[in-house]
Amino acid sequence: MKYLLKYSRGGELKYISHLDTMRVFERAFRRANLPMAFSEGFNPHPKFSIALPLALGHESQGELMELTLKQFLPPEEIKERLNSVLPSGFKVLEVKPYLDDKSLMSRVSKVVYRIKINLSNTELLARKEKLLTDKPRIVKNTKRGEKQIDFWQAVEALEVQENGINVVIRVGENSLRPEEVAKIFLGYLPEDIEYIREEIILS
Amino acid sequence: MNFAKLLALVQKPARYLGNELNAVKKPWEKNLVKIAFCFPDLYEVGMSHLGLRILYETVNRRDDALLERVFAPAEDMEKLLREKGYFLFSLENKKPLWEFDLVGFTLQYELSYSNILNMLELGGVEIFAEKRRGWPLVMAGGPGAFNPEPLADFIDFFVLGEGEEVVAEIIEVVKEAKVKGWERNDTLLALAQIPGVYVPKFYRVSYDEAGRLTEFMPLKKDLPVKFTKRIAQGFLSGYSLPSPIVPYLDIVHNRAMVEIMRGCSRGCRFCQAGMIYRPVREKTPELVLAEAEKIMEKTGYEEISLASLSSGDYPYIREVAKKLLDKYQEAGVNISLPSLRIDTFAVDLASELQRVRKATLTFAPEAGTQRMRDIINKGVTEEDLINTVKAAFKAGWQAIKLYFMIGLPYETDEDVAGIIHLAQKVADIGVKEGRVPRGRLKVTVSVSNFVPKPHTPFQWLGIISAEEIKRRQGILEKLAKKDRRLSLKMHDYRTSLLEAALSRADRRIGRVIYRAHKLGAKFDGWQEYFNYELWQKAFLEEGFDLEAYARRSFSLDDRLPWEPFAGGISQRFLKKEYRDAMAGKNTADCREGKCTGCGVCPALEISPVLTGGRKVSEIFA
Ligand code: SF4
Repeated sequence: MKYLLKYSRGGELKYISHLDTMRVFERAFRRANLPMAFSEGFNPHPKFSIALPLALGHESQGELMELTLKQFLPPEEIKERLNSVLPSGFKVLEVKPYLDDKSLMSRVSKVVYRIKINLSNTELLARKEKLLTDKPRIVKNTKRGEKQIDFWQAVEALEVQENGINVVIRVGENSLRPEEVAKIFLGYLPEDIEYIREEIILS
Repeated sequence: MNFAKLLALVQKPARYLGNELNAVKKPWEKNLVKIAFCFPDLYEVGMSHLGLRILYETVNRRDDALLERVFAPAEDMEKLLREKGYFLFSLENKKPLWEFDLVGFTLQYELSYSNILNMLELGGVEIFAEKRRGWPLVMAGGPGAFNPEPLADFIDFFVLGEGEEVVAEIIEVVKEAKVKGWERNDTLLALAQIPGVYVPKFYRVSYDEAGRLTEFMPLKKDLPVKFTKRIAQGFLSGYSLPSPIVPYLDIVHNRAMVEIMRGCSRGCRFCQAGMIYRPVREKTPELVLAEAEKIMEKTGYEEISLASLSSGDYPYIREVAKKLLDKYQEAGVNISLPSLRIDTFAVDLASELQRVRKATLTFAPEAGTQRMRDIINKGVTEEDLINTVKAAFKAGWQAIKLYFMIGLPYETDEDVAGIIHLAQKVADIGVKEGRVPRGRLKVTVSVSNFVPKPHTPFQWLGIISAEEIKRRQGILEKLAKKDRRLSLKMHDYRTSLLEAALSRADRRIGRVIYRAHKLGAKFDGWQEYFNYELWQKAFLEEGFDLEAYARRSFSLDDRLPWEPFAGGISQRFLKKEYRDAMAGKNTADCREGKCTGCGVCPALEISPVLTGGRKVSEIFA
């Protein structure tokens, strides 16, 4: 039985890595006594996967995970059991059956980020204007050599809000990390910038 | 301090979070006794240490005291602390070291001593004990406390032996001292009355030219001249349950640790742990199972480790492991056993436990020839090893790891070469018995350099010279090169020399450690930081030659600088063992029924606690 879990990561727990997050969940499943399904083969692993790794230092309001259990449990119960054993900082927001055949990872198409910047609204708006006229291209070093990425191709939308921006970034081959978006937007990376993943949009 | 800002700037910030699952953050109130438990190495190393977890649980269970963790900061964090003028802080309440009442260090290995000085400095605590005023008191325990003298300048008091019960007595004294506003010296004097506690400033110590102890004299009356270590009686009743903090980071031993027994009486003559943790005390299988269950409920770990110095010796090991496996298999939990002995039972057990055959099987013959193994009292024959690896290859293993030492007393070139010959025999068996495909077969030969330790039968001897280590390593290299099935790993000889110098050091070497610290020594146990020239310089500037110091030997009649701290092991026994070593005579394990007279039981007024009705007869001093 497959489920889709939506969860948040906040507080000091934003300082743990993707791998560490996987471990936190595996142990929480065990403490919650969930009947985990395991992969076949020499080194059996519990069957769950996180849609998209979240970088160290980023918070999130909308992480997605696919989880397979050996038997059916009511989604509400899964949510409650997990929330009672997860360390504070992680919270399961929603659980529902996952009925799609495609893997969760392959369906990720866009991510929405809120980037908190300590600048005034007018300043932020001016920078957006500049970006719209400049249409910058970003040079990335990949294994196959240099690659140019069109900013407005990678960023579908950029909205100025109170104390920061909201961006919708396309996920795929010509993708940009939120830090790269912020750097293009500001021209530099301030120390007190904050990243919050608001949503992962599936296709 | 702006903690979030610091975290954003370092690698692996999870080292400093302190909010792991089951971490205890108590209110920072006035009349609590506040203890900082300092582990002089990185978080990943320190959190793997059982002693820290046991004391964490023991102290934090009380409502009049708290114990918080402090680890050596990694290079990037140290740099930030110094740049921004912050103090080294505890993980739970983020308090600087100097705000605690007690700052305790655990002495697990000599190569972390420079980190102790660095941590005191970073934590805002005066490095030299004699210059400190008021609180905190700096204490130290762990195996290194059995030769406390090299750190005597920096530590206010040492504690010998197991900490769970003595820590309660220390807390009581500190509580009273705080309420009544005692002077520092009076507090220390009260602490010195606790059995197992050593306060170096109350003793006059001197040595002769050759480093022999000439005087060890208490400066106050009613203080001991010989220290008996502490034993935790509550261990066998489940009082010593380790704290189940679940780190976010992948630490060295990232699993549920359940202690099944303490002590080892096999009596390998090079092994300090085997001497200082005696006698053997085995928990009942019921208690082990109950503790495992408690820890698993709170952690959800993917592996349970049944921990002890020699887990294969625990009589109920198979029963306990099987019960745990039955219980947790469904949830994908592995059972692991550290330090397997060399017999087919170990292989059977490992096969049963490992549903996954990928892990390497590790054995420690320690020496390459029978003559040498008799000298060190490693009760293992070549036949044992051959039968064991035969069983292992038949059971499907394709890689085996063997641990050896070079530089053992009376070692000849033939003994050194014997290491490779033995490893080759093991590889041959793999080809013949295991039908392991040629390219897959791998025998890893890991060779460290023997470092003589206090309170072992080899305590009188120095380490062999740098030249000699290199020469013997050369023999190994030449022989191993021809055989592609072998992979030879050798330990750096320089770290071994420093370890040898510090492990049998006396009070005079405190100056050297301080100088090394001033020159920038830290993380000496980590290859990427270790700087041998720096240490050589520190020794020279204080009037010692590092290598000569590491190599110094004593005669059996000399008084040794660490002799007062034997904890209960008798000198007579160690001398007998030394002579038996030279004669190649073996000494049995007292668990087999007959006391061999190490002296610990009479000194501590206890006897080994063996399960299943086994007993040791006629215990003598
Ligand atoms: S005194 Fe005897 S019984 Fe006790 S640990 Fe030593 S050898 Fe074993």
